[in-house]
Amino acid sequence: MQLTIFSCSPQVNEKSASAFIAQAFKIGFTSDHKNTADIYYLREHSQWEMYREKFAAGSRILFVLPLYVDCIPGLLMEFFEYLAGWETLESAALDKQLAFIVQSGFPEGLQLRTCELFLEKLPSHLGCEYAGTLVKGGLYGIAYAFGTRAKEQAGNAFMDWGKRFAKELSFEKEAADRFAAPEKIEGIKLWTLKLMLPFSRLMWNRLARKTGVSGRLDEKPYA
Amino acid sequence: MHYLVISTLPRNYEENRQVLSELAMEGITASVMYEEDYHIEGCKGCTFCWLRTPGRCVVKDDYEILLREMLKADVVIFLSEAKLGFVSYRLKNIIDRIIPMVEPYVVIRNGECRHIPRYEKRPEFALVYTGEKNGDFLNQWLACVTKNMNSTSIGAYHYEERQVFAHAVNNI
Repeated sequence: MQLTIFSCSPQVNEKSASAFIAQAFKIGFTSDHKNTADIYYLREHSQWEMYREKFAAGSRILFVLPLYVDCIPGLLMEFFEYLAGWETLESAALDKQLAFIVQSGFPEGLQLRTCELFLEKLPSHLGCEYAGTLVKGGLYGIAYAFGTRAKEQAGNAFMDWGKRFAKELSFEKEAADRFAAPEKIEGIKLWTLKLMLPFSRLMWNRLARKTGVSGRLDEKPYA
Repeated sequence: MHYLVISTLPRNYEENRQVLSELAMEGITASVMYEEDYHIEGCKGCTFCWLRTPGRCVVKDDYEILLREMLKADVVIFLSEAKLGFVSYRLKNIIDRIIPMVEPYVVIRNGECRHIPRYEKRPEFALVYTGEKNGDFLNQWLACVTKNMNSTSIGAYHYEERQVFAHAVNNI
């Protein structure tokens, strides 16, 4: 089975959580040596004509994307519009299944559900079938991992999903929902999170110092 | 009240004039910005606007002009074509670039993680769209966007509902 993967972040690959996830997923998917997978990076706009051909040639397509302002990034929307405007899309879309992985910074699954709702309907607009969506929060900065353990855990989890996808060829909703947990942070965990927030503020400030910023992160340049 | 319309429709489209005229019938005068007059690139996802140049995007295009105008407005009305069940990428690129309007810091609001708005001024958002009707989804999406900005959604209205839209804007 051949899988065509589009990594849909505008971010440079070495800092992109989507590129990191795409790579881990590919390793898992191709651990069965009968399977092959190729990753294409949408940030390389000059390659889009070739990417369109790759989209047409594939029967199983996976889009890995970051959540941008509660839905897909403008970059990916532009690519979908580019595909939709292609006169040969109708014949190219036949028997094609589209699956998605959406990742975000906030930890709750609920933050990604509106995007998932859009992605459920999108394949039909392109004449394709839907093969499920995997959503996962809490992945800000995972590509350059502030803690290598967190990076390793995330990498292993997406490798496992790659292996699973190789067998099932779709993301089963119930298992995907378990993976997305916590859907909402409640009870004692919410109180713990509230207590931790001042420390997360310090973490942001420390990150900023590392990049050489000496001013305040809550600066208001247009006030 | 200061009303701002940001249209991604070509300037010569009748829909622009009709929406403004509907607002005028409610006694509302809005300033208009046409996306085609500006060069707006997509967000690069670098989060430099949070960490390196707080509040400022490092992509040097015309976004700053739009951002400044949005921060002056009490109500921002987006006028766009719906495509594939969503707004066009031209509008999504603009909305992706509002990230400098929030800080990286996180708070819990109504039990959910949210960013802290960078400015006290937080315009309310409305959307008027042409093309295929998809009000349920677009309303849900706009509500999420404004929730994250700690602002309010006036709603997403199909172009055919422009009278209801203008009335809703007048009633805020």
